[in-house]
Amino acid sequence: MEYLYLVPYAVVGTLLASTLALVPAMHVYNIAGIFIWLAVSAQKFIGGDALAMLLLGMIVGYAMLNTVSAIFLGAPDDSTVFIVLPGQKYLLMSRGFEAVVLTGIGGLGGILILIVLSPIAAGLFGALRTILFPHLHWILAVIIVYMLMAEWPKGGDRGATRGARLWDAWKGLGAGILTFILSGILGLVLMYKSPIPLEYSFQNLLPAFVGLFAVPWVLENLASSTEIPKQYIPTTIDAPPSMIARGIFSGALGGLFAAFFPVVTGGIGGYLAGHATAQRDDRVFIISQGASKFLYYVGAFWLFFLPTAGITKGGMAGMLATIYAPQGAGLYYTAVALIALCGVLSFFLLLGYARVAVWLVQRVNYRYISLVTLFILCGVVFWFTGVGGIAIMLIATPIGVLPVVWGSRRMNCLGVILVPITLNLAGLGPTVAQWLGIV
Amino acid sequence: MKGISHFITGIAVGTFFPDAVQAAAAGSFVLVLGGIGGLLPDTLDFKFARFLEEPDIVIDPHPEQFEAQKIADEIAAGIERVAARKKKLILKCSTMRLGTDWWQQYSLRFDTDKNQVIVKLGPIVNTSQLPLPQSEREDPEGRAQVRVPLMPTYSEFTTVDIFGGPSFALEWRNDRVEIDFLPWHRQFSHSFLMAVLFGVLCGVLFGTTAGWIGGLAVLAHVLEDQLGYLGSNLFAPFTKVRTTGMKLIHAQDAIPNFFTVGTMAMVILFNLDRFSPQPMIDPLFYWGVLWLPLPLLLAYYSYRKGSAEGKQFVPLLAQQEAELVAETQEVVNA
Amino acid sequence: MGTLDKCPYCGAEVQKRLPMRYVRLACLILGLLGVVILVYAARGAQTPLIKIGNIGAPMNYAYVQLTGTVTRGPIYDADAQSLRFYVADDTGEIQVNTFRDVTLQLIQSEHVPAIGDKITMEGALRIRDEFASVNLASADKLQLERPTVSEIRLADVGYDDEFHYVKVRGDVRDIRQPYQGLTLVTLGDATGELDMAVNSDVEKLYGALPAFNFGDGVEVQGVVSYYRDTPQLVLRHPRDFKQLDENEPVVTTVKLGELATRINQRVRVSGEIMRVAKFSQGLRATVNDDTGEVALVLWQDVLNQMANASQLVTGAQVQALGKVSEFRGELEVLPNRASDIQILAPPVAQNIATPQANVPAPTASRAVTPTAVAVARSVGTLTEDDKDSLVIVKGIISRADTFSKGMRYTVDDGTGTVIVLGWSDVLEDVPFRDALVEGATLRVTGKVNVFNDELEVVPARANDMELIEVSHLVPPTPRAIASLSSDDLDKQVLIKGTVQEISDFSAGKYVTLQDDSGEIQVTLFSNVYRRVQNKLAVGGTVTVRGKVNLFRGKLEVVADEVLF
Repeated sequence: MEYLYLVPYAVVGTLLASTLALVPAMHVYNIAGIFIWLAVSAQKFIGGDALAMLLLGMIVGYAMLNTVSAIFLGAPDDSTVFIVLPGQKYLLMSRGFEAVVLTGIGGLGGILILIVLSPIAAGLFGALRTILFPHLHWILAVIIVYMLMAEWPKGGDRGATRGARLWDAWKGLGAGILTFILSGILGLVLMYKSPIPLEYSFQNLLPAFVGLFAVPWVLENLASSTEIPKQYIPTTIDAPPSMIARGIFSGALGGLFAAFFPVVTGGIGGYLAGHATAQRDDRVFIISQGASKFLYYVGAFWLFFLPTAGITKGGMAGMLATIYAPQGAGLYYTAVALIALCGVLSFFLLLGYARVAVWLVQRVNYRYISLVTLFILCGVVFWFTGVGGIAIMLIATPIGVLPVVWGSRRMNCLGVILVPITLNLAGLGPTVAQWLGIV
Repeated sequence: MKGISHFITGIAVGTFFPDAVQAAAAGSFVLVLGGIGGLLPDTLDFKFARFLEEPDIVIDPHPEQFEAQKIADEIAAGIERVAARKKKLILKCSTMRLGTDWWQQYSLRFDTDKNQVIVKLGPIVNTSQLPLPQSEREDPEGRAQVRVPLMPTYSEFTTVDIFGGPSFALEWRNDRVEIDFLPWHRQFSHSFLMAVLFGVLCGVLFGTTAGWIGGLAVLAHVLEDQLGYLGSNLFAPFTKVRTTGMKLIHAQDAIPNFFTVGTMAMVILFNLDRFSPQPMIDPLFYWGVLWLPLPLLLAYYSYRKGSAEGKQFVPLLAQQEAELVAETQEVVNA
Repeated sequence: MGTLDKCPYCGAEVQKRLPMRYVRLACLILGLLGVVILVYAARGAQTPLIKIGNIGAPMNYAYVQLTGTVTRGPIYDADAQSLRFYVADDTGEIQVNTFRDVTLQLIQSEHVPAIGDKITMEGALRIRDEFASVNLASADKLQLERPTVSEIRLADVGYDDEFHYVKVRGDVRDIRQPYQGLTLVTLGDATGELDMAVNSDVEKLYGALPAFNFGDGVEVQGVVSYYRDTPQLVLRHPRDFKQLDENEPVVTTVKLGELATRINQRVRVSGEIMRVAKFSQGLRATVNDDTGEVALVLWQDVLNQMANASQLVTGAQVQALGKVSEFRGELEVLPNRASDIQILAPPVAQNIATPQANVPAPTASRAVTPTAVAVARSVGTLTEDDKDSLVIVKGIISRADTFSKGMRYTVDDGTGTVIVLGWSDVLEDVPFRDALVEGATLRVTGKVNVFNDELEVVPARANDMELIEVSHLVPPTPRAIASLSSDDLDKQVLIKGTVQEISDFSAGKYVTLQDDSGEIQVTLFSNVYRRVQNKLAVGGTVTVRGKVNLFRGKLEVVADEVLF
């Protein structure tokens, strides 16, 4: 009963996030950052457990609802970018609403997974942390190696000579590797000589992510003459229980992996889990990505509350950890209960917001939507990180467009975090930075 | 097996070396060599060997002007040329891409009973090979008679739909024209010698333990592939022909892949723990309880597979084709 | 794409579009150019310099430059290969961490920051739960300016000297360990006293200090810091601690006749006690050395520390170290602690007669003879009025406890119990010392003393102790270490196990003992350790008899005896 007063904060957080999740490119970390900044600078007008639960509600709402803007408004982040391609496929088949609902089902499955794991999570993740902590650097390195090695060439079949075919195949692969390297260098510069003001260091990666993921998508939307066909809002979903179960299971693996491991994002986790469970069907994939995304965002925050384990992972937890530390099992189980409550609330909001989004895209030209999105992106970056952030965004954008035009994976853009963090964990970060002359 | 299964198996192999695990805990990246070795054979094939093959006969049809008979005649002529000159020819069948996610499928059958080459237009499919409803056309199939005995060593029936499209080696062997599917795949890259060479290379560059890890990771890949249908040329370059596999699993099957990935992940965790200064895992509980669902799942898979194959005919040829595609297919086309 | 003129996916007519290769090339060039420009700009940019007080939560992960003075540390964890120290500027203090390779590089290049160093460094801020720290990026991103040393007298150390690097000379007056990891050595010169703090991390990094004893003259270089308004000298490196030649004493012995010129100085004096007078807060002994007289004032807390305070009697030869002061026109010397006073010789001896006991002839352990007749008494009849009387008691040892300077035997003769205090130097010469265990019957001749309201009988020499009968108690079986709990506090226990680790502290050794159930720390004071030092080794199996104690929240056993 002593934690009952936290329920309204969580619900308010969810409602807030549900509104903001519709705004393209408004990442929940931006909003959380505002709240953290206000809490710090305004003498903690809201602090302690109340702030934590408000942020919890926000992250649950965002994790469930951000698919809407990603699919309908074409502005994904690092974790929704893998939903967007099949999601936009569905959009162009008049089934955008269905795609959104499938991700929501994945999210509900994610809530179930968290509830089931909650009694054993402290022991499980605490033990995993103890065993794996000394090995993080090479685990991240194998993820990088797999990402790069497992990208298969898309062309190379029509060249007249061996050289021509090899070039045709490898230009895409080469572009992928180059994307990884360039984004890695960008990440290193941001780590050691960021042009972003110190007061906004906690948003250091925002302009890079916007430039690498969101802006290229928006530019692609603007460049193409895509017309969104009339959308159909079904009353049933074409997904048998076994498919849903497979998708949730696969997504849970990926999402929890991403929630636990430093640097690994929901997209990488979902990608690995998809391979591990040999997914082929788009529906399974969308459900799994919904679960993965939900567990990545919410799971990382949930780990923050684990008694005795003390795991801080993810931007939201990382920001909150600068001013707050949760205490006790009571608060932990309260957090689990509020995740369930806010998750279910968010799902129903998702159904409503998806209808709103359907209405919007059928009345407003998609290009206009994308143009407005672009302006919002630039505005958000400038608001939080100033001119330095705009410069970073402009530098990151052509890197983010490389995969689009050369046919390589957008996931290679995650070099922006994978490279500097992996190097740092291995103790090589400053060495490489010195080679570049930035330190 | 999917690439990730091979990859994680390679890493698991490396974790059996205590000095490698301890070095990894101290900052070394030696275990990454296991992953690289695990994926190396398919990387060499699908990123290099495939493009270095020089086709002699190229079938490159147009989706709106598909001439099945002409294609069948061309292939048949090529087969007869092989029989006449006793010289190997490479046949390449290109795909017809219609869009980001759409392909025009056609099929190729080497009918050994009637000694015919049969070509037929199929439906439009997506990259997951799921057909677009009502996209089948009523185009006539093409049939060309061949005057020499045929023997497809892998399958009689092949669909050509997504990505690059298959190639075939047409070679005169055993008094007939034998047709090898994807001749560039699973040759030297999947041989024991490859494992040795990579192991030696790693050993020279990074030390003895690294050498063992690299070599054994490649070997693990080769042996895992033997569980499937295509087989490998294990003793290349001393042998020229691929041996068939044990035909126990299909590459695209979710459960064997998941079993492999799950088991190897548990092996890695177990080894990292037992070679740490303070091990905490109880082996009995870990392998007796936590791991148990995985072999049970595999047993279930085996039971279902056995009863399904007994009860209904599933064209083996289509399964093999799908399996090969599954090995190379990207799940995430992003 | 493909062979189509019109893209069935997006509806674009291929021939009218911009060739993709131009777009690709443009992206490639822009991407490369952008990164090159960024790296070039970053190379020219300075790392932002920040004041510690301005660090806030939104700056988490920011890469910054700091300058300041090292105020604490280094704290070294060899297992984790990490170093921690604290830097302060005029706005605040922050913790600095180094890990693995950076730590090793700092140690190997002898570039480990120490208290008092001025540093400039670069690193990444880490802020968690409002606690800020910074992780040093690399060893060459740390610039050190070592302080220059200045010589100073102990009494002159003040707040203005905080974080100054000074050189002092003094005698070792006291050694104590407030907690594990810190040793405080009190140094005294002619002007005053000051504690020197020796952090065990310094010894872990650079090696142990040279051995030293009470009374040794030393020269120390250290940084002045304050612990709750008390100044102390923090040692930065073992090489900063040097022993002085015996021929150059720090505090000189002064004739009593010269004391008038030494007011407020610390001096060493010696002479014969002419008069002893107790007062409410202690004792005043008038000392004479033929050149003059002075009152030796011993406060009660100093007297309580003295084991041989009863020997401060008329005629005893005494040497004392203390501060000279003047009280009501009379010169006084005020020692600070018991170790400042030495009884050089007791007064001239008288015969001892024991009516019953078979008392052995005096040995040469001490060149003293008893001054009074020893009377056999039952323990129950002893009172505080018997203080300083020479008595003989006989009884069974019900308990034997070790303390830093010897053993405390509780002897019960059926009428009551009394403590028999065996000083280490006395017990060393007792041939049956190992038989002085619970259950043994003992006869002791000694002087009655009152300490902390408890009666004691203090034998002056080995021959004053006689073993009447050995103990017949069946030795207990060793207990499992894990079975020891707070319920066993102050109880005598027997434990057995394998020695895992032996480490030093100022008054003896800590031994980590492990059996199948767990492990525990065993404290061996010097007097106990000396008897077993040749046999005690890591990996050996020992049985320890001792008392369960609680030290810093953890159970330990203070050993009375170690058996092999």
